[in-house]
Amino acid sequence: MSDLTQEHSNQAKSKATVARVDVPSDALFTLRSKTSGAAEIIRRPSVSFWMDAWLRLKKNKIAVASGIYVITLILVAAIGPEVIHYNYEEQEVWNLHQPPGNGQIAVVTGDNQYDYVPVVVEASTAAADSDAAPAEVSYEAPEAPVSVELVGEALTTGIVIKWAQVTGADGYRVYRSTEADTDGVPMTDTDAVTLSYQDLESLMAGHTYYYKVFSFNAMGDSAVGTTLEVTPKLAISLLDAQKFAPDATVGSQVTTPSHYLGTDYLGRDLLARLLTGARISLFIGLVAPLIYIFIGIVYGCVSGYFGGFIDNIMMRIADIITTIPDLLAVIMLQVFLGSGVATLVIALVMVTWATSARQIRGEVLRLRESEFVYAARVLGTPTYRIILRHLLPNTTGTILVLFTLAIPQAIFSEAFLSFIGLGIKPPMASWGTVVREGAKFFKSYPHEVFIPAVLISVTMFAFNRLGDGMRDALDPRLRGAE
Amino acid sequence: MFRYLMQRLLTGFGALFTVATLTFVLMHAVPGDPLRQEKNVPESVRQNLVVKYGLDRPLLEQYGRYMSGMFLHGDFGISFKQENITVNQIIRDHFWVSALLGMLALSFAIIVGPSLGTLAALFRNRTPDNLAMMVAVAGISIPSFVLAYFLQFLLAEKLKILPSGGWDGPETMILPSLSLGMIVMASMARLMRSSMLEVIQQDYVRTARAKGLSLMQIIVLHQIRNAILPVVVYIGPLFAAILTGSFVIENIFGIPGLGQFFVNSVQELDYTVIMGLTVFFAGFAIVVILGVDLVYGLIDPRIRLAKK
Repeated sequence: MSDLTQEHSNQAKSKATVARVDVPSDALFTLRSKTSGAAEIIRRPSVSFWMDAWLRLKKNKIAVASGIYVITLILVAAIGPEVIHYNYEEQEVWNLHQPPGNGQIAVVTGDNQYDYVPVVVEASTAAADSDAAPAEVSYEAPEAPVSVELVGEALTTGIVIKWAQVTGADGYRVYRSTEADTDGVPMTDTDAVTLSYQDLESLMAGHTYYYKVFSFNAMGDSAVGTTLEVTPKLAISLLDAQKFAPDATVGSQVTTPSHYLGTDYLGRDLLARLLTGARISLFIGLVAPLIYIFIGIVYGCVSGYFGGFIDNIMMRIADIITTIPDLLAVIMLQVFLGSGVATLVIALVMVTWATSARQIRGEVLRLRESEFVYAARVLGTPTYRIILRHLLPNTTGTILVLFTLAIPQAIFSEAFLSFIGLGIKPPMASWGTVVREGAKFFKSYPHEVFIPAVLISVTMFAFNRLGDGMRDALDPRLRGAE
Repeated sequence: MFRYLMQRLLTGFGALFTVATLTFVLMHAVPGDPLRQEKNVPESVRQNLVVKYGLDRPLLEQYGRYMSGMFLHGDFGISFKQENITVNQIIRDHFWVSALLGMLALSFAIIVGPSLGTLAALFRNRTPDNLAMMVAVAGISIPSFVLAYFLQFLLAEKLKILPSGGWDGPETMILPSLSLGMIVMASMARLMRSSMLEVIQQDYVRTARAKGLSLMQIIVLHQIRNAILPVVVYIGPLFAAILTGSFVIENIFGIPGLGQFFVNSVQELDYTVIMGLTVFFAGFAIVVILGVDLVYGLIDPRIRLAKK
């Protein structure tokens, strides 16, 4: 008993175990209580293995922070999509690629928003011009187009520009650019008498577009006019506006509902997509490891406990399965089973169970030779009971760590497969699909890639650190090891 | 050694056989045949194609032809979707691009990873260690395609130091190799650190110090030489990460490698190309992992492979 006391007290670095011997009354020594009961008190409370591990884990700040992040994320994923008033597939077709933040000012347009009548000068005017210099073909370069200006209001549903006619021009070409010092891309060619252009090509609110009008003649000579700088305002049809602003009228300005993370290329709320995506990504990340580790436990226990011939055959099969490159097999199964959450889980389980089976088998092999198993066997405990009551509870730590570290792997696999277009298919949202969709417009709207990308990375980081922390806590000997 | 080698070869072959059979079964379990999607082909032409590709034969015969063609003659068949291109041609033309990319990524990982790990172990729990491990954990947590986009955005789009894509010249190879090799580099750094920490406590290190060897000699001759061995054994499994990573990295940077072909063929359901490339990739991975394990057995006399 006193041995035990000493051991525990040493662990707790308590000074309570000074031997009870007769010492001179020296100031350096304090006499222990003479009552034997008090002397036997174990200063550090007796803790179970799990309590001990928990205490160690609590000291690891990064692991605790990761754990809090993980729990928050799971809660947010569970509640978030219900709370937020956007749906992951609800589109606001007039509000594509809205930047993160509050709502924008939009101009309500009527049904005639696309009505556009080109400015055409009468042919007779042109003829009258040519009358001035009869039968003389001009070899001179045309004059540069003048007074390039905006017609009406610049809206995302269309920008109309017009310019004045110049002599010597056989036609005009309109260029549009997003930078002031480049020509950009040619948008249209007009003939000599058409002096306006309506731009309908994917205009974004708040972006500045630079229009340049070139005049050219039949010889290929050209001249460029002044650059017109246009920043269109967001346009919204009356019908759409009335959904959130019942008293909107044509021509009035309304504030659109805010999207905290903006909208994607189809006008879907990015936050709603990420929250729904979190559900799917976490579901796959949690369920796939749960299933394959369960299979691994059964397979590993049977193989490890029985050993010999059975073990040999079972492990050769596992060997072959682990040798097959994981993602290759998942991709193959995806082709066969089609896409969806269920197939992704099945595919991940099928290729990864063997690895966990091997690790659990190793653990069982080690425990099989322990005294308590021998004792149980001698006492006539049935095999299933030895496995269930003696072996399994002792592998819980290994299994828990295996599980935690398998989650980021599964989340990564889902994101990877969805990213290359073989996982979750749109309009369903998972983090991988959100990155994939954002990647199409990466150059103009990098935040549509970076927000989900950071989310995936931080989540993987948190699960990795939590798993590392748990491994260190459950088995301090392995601290700092891989 | 011989017994071990035979056993490993047998397992490897078994895995390859399983992959090939699995691919074949899966491909033929998909409803319809690949030629049915060709809309504008007259029925008679379609029949000719069916005969040409042997799709009219019994399934078992198709399986026999496919397996014998692949394993006995190294012939993976003809692409269904691209005219007059055999899978062998695709592999021959594009494999070297992928191989070069993989080699560059692996070299980056092998050079930087262990150095970072060594540095971290030598400065245990001090700033260099914390910094190095931060890089390592970030490297493990950030998926390669995310890193690829980030590097592309930062170095190619914003700073305009490097080209954002293509595959012509050394400067185009830097970003893809970095993004592909990062995860392996990070794993190696972590492995090397823990391995070094173990070696530092060994008696022979104390003996070396007692003999009066310089710090540099101890680190290079005694510590790194011993610590690097466990790291080498992980090159095999880590190689698989490079292989799968290359599918998406090649796509992002527009590199004409095999990985992109593989992803495209899966999306287009080009059966022969999928089957051929899967078996090729699997075989390649198996051979590399076996090779690494054998090399490990040779350089570390303490490992008795036969007893494993």
